[in-house]
Amino acid sequence: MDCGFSELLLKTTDRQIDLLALNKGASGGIGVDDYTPGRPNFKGGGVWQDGPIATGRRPVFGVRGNVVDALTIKIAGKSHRSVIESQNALDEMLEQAMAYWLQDTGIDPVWIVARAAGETERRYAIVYGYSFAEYDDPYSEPYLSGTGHVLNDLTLGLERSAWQHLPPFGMEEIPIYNLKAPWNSGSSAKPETPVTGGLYIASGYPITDHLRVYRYDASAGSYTQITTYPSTIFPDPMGVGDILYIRSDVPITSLYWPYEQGVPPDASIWEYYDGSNWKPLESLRNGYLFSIATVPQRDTVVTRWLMPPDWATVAPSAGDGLTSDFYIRIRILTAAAGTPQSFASAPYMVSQPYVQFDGAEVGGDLDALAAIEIYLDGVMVVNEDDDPDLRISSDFGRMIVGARSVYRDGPAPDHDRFHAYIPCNQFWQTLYGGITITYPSSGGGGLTTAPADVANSYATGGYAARWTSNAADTTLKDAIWIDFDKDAVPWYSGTFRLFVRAKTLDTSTFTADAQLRYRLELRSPGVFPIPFNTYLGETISTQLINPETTSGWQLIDLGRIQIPPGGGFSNDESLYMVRIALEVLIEPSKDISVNDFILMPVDEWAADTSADRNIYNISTTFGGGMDDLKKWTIDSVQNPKEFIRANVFEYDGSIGDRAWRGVGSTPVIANKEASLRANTEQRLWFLFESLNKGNENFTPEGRALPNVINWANRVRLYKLQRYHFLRGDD
Amino acid sequence: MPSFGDSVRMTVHYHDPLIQGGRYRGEMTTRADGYGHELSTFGGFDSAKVSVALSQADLEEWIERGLGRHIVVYDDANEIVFEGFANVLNATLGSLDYTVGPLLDIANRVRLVYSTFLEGGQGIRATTGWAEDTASVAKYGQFERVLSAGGVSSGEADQIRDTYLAENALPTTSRQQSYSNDGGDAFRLDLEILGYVHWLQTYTYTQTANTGSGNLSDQLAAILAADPNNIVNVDLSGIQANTLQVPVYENDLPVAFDLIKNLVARGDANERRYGFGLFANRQVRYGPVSEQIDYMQHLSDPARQVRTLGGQIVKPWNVKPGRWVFFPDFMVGRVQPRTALRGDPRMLFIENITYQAPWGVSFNGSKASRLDQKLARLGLSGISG
Repeated sequence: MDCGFSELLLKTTDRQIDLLALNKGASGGIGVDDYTPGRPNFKGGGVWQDGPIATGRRPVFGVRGNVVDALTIKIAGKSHRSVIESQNALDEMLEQAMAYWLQDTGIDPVWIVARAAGETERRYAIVYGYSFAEYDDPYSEPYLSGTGHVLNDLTLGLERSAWQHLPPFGMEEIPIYNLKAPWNSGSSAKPETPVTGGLYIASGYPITDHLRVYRYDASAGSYTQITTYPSTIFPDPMGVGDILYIRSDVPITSLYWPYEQGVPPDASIWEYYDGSNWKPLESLRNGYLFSIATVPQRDTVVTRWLMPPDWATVAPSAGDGLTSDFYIRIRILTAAAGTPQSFASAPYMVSQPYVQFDGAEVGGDLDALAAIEIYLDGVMVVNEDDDPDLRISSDFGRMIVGARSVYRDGPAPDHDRFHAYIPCNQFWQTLYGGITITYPSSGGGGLTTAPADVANSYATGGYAARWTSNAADTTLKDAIWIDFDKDAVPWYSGTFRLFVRAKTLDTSTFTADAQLRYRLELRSPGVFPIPFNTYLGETISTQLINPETTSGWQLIDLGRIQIPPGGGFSNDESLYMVRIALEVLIEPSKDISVNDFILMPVDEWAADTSADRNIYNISTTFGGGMDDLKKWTIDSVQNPKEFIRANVFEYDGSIGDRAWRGVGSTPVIANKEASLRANTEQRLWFLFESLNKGNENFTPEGRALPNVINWANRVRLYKLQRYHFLRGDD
Repeated sequence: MPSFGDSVRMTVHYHDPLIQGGRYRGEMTTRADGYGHELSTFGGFDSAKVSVALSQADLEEWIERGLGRHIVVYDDANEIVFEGFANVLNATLGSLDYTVGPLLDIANRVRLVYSTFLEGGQGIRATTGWAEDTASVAKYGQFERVLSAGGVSSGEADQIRDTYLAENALPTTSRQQSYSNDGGDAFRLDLEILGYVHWLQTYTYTQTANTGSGNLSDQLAAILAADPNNIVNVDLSGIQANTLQVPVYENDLPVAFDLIKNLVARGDANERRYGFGLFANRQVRYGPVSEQIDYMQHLSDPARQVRTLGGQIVKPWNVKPGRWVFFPDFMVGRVQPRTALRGDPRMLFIENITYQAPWGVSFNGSKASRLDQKLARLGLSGISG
């Protein structure tokens, strides 16, 4: 880029005005004699708390105002007519700038393009308004002379946004990744390399440290673990009885397949083991990936299915390394000639539902505006035509996002220790440390002594905590609690919305709602950790559900929680420990099982969007198969008139370049514009909730609804960087 | 260098009236130049005001369809901190002030209790049937009104009822045009919002199937369940049991709001005071008010933060009524700790909270006396001395 003469343009879609034309030596046009740039400061200086009997004052709240730049300009030309034309063009542009905001008639916005001499990159700012109080006297010299700069000393005020790195509506995709995926620390590749184009995440995780893939060659009677990629899915040449085994140490319900095209078998079947036999995985239509040669629109897909309630472990061939675990297998019924389809890389399951970006990916010195896209694609699971009941989990209708800077967890190696999802099982404690989950065996009555087994589909040892009320319970009892030791407290300091995912296994009718509440304690460390500060959340009443599938959980919102509970300690002091206890009151002998605690960060940026449950059923709006691909966005970039919005788009390949078309919007509750910290390693945590099947029994509001935890969706993240002043070479 | 953006903040959203389905309409925070709400120990989400700058077209749309709209305010954690309905719309269009409402003044289901005079001065009490404006009910919800009159005939009673219905089935509007030289304000809308507890004024409660007494909390639940507009959340589990016995028979067409207020005022058998309110998602909460220190505020704190006893900062919009505030640096060394909080001058019981965006909050305290409960149980509204 030519970094020579400065640039200062007023621009709209089809034309522009160079405010420095005269400064550059042009014989006519506009020139700037003086320029006083404004700065995006806090409105009114922010809100300060002060008191006449207190020492000093301190700020407590601040939101930024617009920026007003003051320019002293002149308009000149070779003739009167050319001066008038320049002045008219400027007035027209300024009028349009305000008309964009005042009218809703398809008017394009006006923005400033700027670059100082020596500044490498351009800056942009959308214009909100202007002040142009008076013109120069056209009847006095030198206007009448027809020479020189003839309209002089015009004072123009431009009210604009902060500087940004692209014009209005523009944004750039941010490479994102997911770190330390515990589910595939075995042989599978980890999605730790930043990617564009999307990363698959799920609103939960299988607690697995192994996801392995084996190929069985029926003609040779041999098993091969696939450890290098690309690799054919089936033996080459394929034959009847060849099998692909997917192995996990816990049941899973989605997988991401980096896929290379090839010849699929003429017929294949997906199967799981029910404890005595291999049975068809009926919730899967037929294995889309393995039934057609080409996958439209992308070269990766996600496979999802419903959790079979009788899924059991099996050792297909212990001598070959296929020891006891949960397996899904794809068995060839009718082979085909040609090179089989391949895995481009290892299949994986992103199960800690966050995306992360490096600090260097978002520049600027103000928070960048952001847009998030969630793709509901690759859903090839449910035979909705044959069995509408299976439609339960093909999609989701609520999305919650919360941002948290990684540095808040402390310096490396603790800089990524915060995890929003805290499962109620031992695996988590072993893996991450600093957290102790306690399942009391007495005191509340009927408590299990270990992570309780939940339904048959969960393996020995269990992956959720179960509480059973006894007959004497009339008040809220501690069902389960999490202790953060003094090292872990800083990792989890902040303000969150606390959710638990729970359900009951009791199929009988409850005569009363369950009550739940969290209790937050600041406790002294040591041998006798006595609680000395406690904070009680609001008591939540909810009708516990017994989901139709074992993979369904009920999302229960316990409200705002702030860690640590006391304001007298800082992260640096680390002299204390914190406990979150879940207090529960349910009918005698009824049970509640808790899968996990979820701490969704809300103190940097958070949004919550869902289909309007009062109006239409979300299942008719989202989801489906490859043929009706949809995406859901949370966006503060592409419509400057709204500070944030959530839209739904549908893919239609038949309309050429305009393949994505908007089909609706969803209400979005957000505590500020979708924004990302600049120069800061940050994670966006996601929580998805399914709102469809089974809702008939629930009121539109105030009820938690089934939440399927393992369904993966593709996320893409975009930025619009912003600056206080000069951009430089950023 | 990391960037630092705006503070996280509250947002105000509006929907169609719940009676009309409650469909989400949009967010109005970015256009609002003023917001405040009041929370009360009796009522919960009590009232709110929001002022919005709008275009003329948007303003006219509000005038046409805005009355009764469902307004929801979320805090910085995206939790609901206020929920209510647009009871009055004050629209300013330059020099024209246009007011729609109050919604609660509507009467679209009316009956008249009257007495006829007989010879000798004897009167016979009678009641007309209900007369209803079905179009108004469909649009705004059911607003019952029981009128009373004396010395009228049956036919006259019906005429009075029907005339009253015709005059009040639709919301009132008023216009004020000023001809002053300043031209008035620009286009703006001032919304007077009421919490849904005030919808309990829209229906009467009758129960003649059973006689005798029952638990006060059961009676409370029965009255709420009788809401013909289905505004109150069907989940009544927020009502704590109160076994104080009250009559269950009701045949005098009392307004539900008045009935509940009277019941709540009775407290319990120990004359403890109870709080009542409709909160997020119109869920009812009923139970004894706090009897412990919930918040503290240091007079010498320049930030004047409200904190929990453990020191956690409570944002102004998250302070709740029916709780006690302790001022630790007030009357230091002058007061002996006392068991009864109400006897300690360093304590304040929060009767009402007034919040004004972005950061203003004030408490209205009360004496938390047991006398009110005693009087209510005796059927007295007050005494003089």
